[in-house]
Amino acid sequence: MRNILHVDLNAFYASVEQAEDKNLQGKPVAVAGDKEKRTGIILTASYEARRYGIKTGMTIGDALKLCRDLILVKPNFRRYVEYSNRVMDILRSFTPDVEVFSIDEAWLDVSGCEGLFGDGVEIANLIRKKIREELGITASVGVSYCKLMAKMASDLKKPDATSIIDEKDVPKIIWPMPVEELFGVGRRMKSRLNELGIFTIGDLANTPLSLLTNNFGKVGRYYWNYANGIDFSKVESSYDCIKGVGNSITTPKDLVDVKEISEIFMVLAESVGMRLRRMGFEGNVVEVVFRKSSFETIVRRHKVNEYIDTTVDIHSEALNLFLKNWDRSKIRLLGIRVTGLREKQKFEQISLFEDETKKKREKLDMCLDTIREKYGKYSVFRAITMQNDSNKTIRVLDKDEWIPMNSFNKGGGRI
Amino acid sequence: MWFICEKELLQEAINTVQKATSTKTTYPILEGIHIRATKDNKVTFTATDLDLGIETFIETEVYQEGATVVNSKLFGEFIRKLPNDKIIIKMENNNVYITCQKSEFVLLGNNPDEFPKLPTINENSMYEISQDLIKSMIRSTIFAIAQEETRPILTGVLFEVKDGKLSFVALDGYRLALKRYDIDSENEISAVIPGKTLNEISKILETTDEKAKITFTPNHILFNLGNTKVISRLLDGEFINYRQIIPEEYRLKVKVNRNELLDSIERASLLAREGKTNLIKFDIKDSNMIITSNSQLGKVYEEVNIELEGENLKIAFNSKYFLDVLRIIDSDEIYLEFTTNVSPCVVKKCNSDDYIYLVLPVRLVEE
Repeated sequence: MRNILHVDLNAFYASVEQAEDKNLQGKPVAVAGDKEKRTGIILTASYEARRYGIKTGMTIGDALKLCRDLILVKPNFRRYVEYSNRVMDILRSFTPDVEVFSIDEAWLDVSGCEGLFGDGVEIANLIRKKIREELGITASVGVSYCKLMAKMASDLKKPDATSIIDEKDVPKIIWPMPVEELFGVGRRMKSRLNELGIFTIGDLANTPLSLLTNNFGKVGRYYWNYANGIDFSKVESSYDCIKGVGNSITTPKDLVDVKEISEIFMVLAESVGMRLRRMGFEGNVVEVVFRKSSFETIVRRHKVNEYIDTTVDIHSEALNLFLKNWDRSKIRLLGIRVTGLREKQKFEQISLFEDETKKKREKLDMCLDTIREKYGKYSVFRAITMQNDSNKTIRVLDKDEWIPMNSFNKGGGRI
Repeated sequence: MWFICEKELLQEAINTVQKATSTKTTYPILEGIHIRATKDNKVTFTATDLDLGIETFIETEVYQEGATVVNSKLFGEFIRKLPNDKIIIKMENNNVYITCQKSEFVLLGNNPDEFPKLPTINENSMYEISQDLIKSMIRSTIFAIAQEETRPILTGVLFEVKDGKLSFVALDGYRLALKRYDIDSENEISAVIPGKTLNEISKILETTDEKAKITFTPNHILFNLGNTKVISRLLDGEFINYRQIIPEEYRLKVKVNRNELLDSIERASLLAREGKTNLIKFDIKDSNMIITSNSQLGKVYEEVNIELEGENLKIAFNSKYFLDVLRIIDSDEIYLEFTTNVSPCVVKKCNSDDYIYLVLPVRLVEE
């Protein structure tokens, strides 16, 4: 039996702000984009703010209606990355098998560490204590026999709690939950499952496998396995070799117009590019994903002749790759990912045909990144993203969000 | 069609023309070899990918005229696996029967009329150049052609005859290779031959003094090697004015032993390669050139004795660009000419001025 932990930092951005500024502690705090405009959105709300019903994704205007005393803080991503790194260092002090899932989530495989630190629950409590004492923020930790259930467990009780799910507890704890609580089930999947009369995770677990594979192909098998608590995936300590940086987004409406698609790719390229540059990487492989309105999902990759990290380069590579593979059918999801990463080089091969515009592109990105870091992600836009209001309607998460889970998409199956 | 021929002879002809067969094509007939037997006891083989065409003939006993097209890969593999003996090739209806000792292979033949004809060129043999020389000129330059299609003209090698000199020039934006040779010809020309053509032809050319006859048309080049003809499309467009690129002057000149430098850079590049960067640094100081390279895995320090004329210099390069030239340059002692650490380095032979290689350095960005 494996011993897997999932650590989830509670209200991460808001907690960091509260840890940094004592005046914010115990008060409703939200980290949000642009507060002057009232159109920015809430990135994270503190637990105090959540009591007023304030949630991630809400506009600042709506949030202020719920709580007039809400304290708005502009995001300071550099600080969050720093805290995240320190948390991950704490986790690595228990085991090298740490899989960083996002800035505020990670899995640990502590099988075999029991002799050193005690059983899973004891390690979980130690981790929480260390994070609380050293960084002044809190974490929920799930303890279970597989990654999936560890993640479900860390959601059971928040903030600052340890929860356990044993294999035999799955029917009791997990099955009564609504099906959309299952990892990988999104809004769209939920309604398709509901149509089949599947409303709880238990319903899903007790549905004949053949019915699911008939309806959803091999993805059906993944969901069925998940619902039954079957997950053999390994904790992969990949932090030191991040494979890629990517974002995908479900578009507000189905798209067929190249210009609109190009605009969305630009918004995605900006997000991917900014994160790539912030991490100090450049990559020479560009991947695009697009999902047709028929739900057919296509992933294509392309090797670029040189290493790139500018928004404009990422955009043009992605768009070209997309256009080569697109059959003009309606599009409902688009994504860009850059892989083949290496550390951004501190030197540059001189060419007989110096590309003067490249310097300009790099400078522009540097300016935009600095402005956005200081005044928020939505403080400045490229004019091209304003033509169809993509700058307002498209909100790309500031963390890696490629396709929900890669195993779902092997062979480009239906989702 | 019906002829008998020695396996080795047949095999050689197939190997020669196969270099032009398409592997990826939307036009399946191009995956074939066109075979034509004629009454004058000649069998001619042709293959083409529409850019490059190769035709060769063998002399053997022909009993019945005829032509067909057979799948190049299958035909070639089968012949290769046959014992060294006489092979009988005979066509009946659309089937090609290949018989040798106790083996018989029947291949479906395709309609020879569907096979594209190579462009007809009136041979004027504008230049006659020894095969040896062409081979060495290709070898000295081809590695510097551009691998990317951003500037298609740079995927070829410039063939230029001007002022009594034949020059081959290749450049990819980061380096330039120029090989020249005195030629006794009044005909001046400037044409760009695709890299692929030169790669293939250098495999067909033999290390011999025998001449290859070269004919140019506005769009094609034809190499006549006796039994074999190679026709290739030329690349469209003007080549870069390479004379402007090569600097006339320098601030320092280094004389160094080619082998010592090559060995040092080979060792230094082991680490440079690990870091995916190929970066090596030169520190040229008085009678020494220090070569260093490092990556996460370790670092290298190399010292090479030099004769220096001029001031000291620190400069960095992509090691691959140096290794490429040091491996082919045929001179024990070479000169390296530098100006600044952001301008080109020119590599020359000490014993001759028939070769010039220019390489651009790597700019180190200060933190």
